[in-house]
Amino acid sequence: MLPPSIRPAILVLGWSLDACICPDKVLDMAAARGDAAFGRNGIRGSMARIDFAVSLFWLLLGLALCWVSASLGVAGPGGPGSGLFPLLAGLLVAGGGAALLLRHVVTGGAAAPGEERAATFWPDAGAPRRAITLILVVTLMILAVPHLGFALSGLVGLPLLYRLIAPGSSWIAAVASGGTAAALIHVLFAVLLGTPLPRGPLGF
Amino acid sequence: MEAVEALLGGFAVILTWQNIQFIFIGSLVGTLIGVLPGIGPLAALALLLPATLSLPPVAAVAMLCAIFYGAMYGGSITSILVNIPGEAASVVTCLDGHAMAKQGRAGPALAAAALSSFVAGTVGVVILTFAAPMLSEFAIRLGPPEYCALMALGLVCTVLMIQGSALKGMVMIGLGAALAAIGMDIVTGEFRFTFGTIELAGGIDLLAVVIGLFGVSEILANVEQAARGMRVKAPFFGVWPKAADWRAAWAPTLRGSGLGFAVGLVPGGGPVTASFLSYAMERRVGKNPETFGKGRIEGVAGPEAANNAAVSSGMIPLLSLGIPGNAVTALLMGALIINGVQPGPMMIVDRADVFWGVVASLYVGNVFLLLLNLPLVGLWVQLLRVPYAVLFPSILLLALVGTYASNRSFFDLWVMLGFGVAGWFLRKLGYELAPLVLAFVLAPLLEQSLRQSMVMSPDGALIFLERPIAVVLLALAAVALALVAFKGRTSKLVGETT
Repeated sequence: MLPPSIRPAILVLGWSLDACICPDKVLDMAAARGDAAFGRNGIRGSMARIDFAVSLFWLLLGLALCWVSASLGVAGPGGPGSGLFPLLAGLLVAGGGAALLLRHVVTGGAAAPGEERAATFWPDAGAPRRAITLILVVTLMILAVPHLGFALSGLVGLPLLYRLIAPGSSWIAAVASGGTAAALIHVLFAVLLGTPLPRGPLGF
Repeated sequence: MEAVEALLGGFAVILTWQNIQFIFIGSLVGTLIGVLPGIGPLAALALLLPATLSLPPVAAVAMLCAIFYGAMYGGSITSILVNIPGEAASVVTCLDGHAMAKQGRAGPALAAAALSSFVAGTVGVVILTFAAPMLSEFAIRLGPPEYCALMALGLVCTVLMIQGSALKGMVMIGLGAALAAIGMDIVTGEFRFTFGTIELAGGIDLLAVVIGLFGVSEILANVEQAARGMRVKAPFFGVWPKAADWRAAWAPTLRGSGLGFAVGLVPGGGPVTASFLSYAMERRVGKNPETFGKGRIEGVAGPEAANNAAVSSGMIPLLSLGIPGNAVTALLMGALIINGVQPGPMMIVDRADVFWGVVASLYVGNVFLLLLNLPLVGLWVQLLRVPYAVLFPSILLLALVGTYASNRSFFDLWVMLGFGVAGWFLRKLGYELAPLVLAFVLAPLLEQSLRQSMVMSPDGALIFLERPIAVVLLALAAVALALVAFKGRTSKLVGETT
């Protein structure tokens, strides 16, 4: 039998896991019980649900940090071990995550006063396409840099980003803008500041 | 008088043709970035820090300070003319500044912002000149337990000063400290959280983290909202305020300077908090508070003075204690360390040229910004017409090259992208990223002083209760922690007054 003081913590942890794996089940259970914290404007909001999952992630990450830190050694014969400080950091992350989860349960996922949480994850229908394309283009640029250098990677990548932000613009404007920016940044770092940058097949 | 003599020495260091050029370029580029909405002062600093790596320490830090000041000045221009704050500290300037602009009084509003910023910046630097050496002298007597307690107090105050959720701030601090622990432990030589990879053995690079969190994440946030260039609709005819404006603005400027200076000294208290508190104070002490938000020059002069004074006073703990109070000073500390200068009480003795050179550069930077701001306001307005399709891709390439230039490591580019995506995601959920950076910079120092303290004492952690200054600092940290619990109530009060 668990001591009564531990029961709420176990309950919160269990609920958190449940909410991430099967959120609707938990929410329906709460609604059936008439739990006000999980009302229509409560944790059912998509942002509140993501916030909940991220809080759970902090709790698990913090616990993992504590576990690895403890294995590094918290104290040794010559004083504190390598694991002491990361253990304290892990406790802070886990404690913060647990407290956030608890607050979610108590407030139904409402934002804290002054907290600037977005109303929805994506501000409009085109946002996922723009954000994901930007991340993909930057990823491709990073992959290309060792082979093409920064200037050529920029010459290829920047026009794509230009067109992503201004879809109605011409490719000529996009290439001209990207080429100019790539050339200026190359001149600033490689020529004026003398930073050794990776060279592409054209020698720059 | 010693301070005055030393300051004159600092002017001798800074007033070279090369250093003046760098301060001028910093002021110019900073204002340019501050004018453009979407790229804050911290992102500007992070993106341009790599460009200063090849400069001598004084020139590098002077240029970075000028960039930061410039970005703060520039932010107020956008707030007043287009009602979009260029950076967070200019949010309150929008309220009365833009209202004045709509009444055809954009010129006086811009002048009030620039002049009050100049006065507050100069007052702040004068106090810094005399206060920083005294604090350094005191700080030399502090041992590891006191330093450890002081940094703990700093981190707790950071949580207290967070605008949103204190719990989220706490998680960010823990995460920053954990990230800083990655790599080889310098005491035992043991590898921590490297997962057998050689790239993580040296730890995570500060620049990659900051450029990702503040540069890439801001661009991602702007691009997903399909941001486009904007048009200036507010007319402005003359820049100079009338006699009545001067009379109304001088007292808020002085009040804002004092308040901002005090807030900037508190760890975690930065320009944003200072400007909001100043606006709340002006509404309380001003006649006809109901007219605030409808074009009162006091609502521009006070907050603008406060945010600039906070920037100056934020330099005091950095230069004299070696402890940054906010993310900006944390980044400046990173720049000094990269340049081989360790900020702290010994800096004023060991590297007096850098210490006083940086202080003198703040005076010079303030003058440059005043000279640049008012006569060139028409040019800054034109900058708002630069399409984001040109601006954001160029900044992304600058971020990539800048991150690589720091360590010449391709791995850092992935770190930058990872932190960029993580920062963008966390900001949507209301997480503030500055505490993470502050903890990331402070953690190695905090760990070092914690371990030294524990080794010094046969009683282990009890050493913190055996040293009076450490006890006082930890008690203050406990009080600050207790105040965090009442944060919701105080935020509500501040919200009501603003």
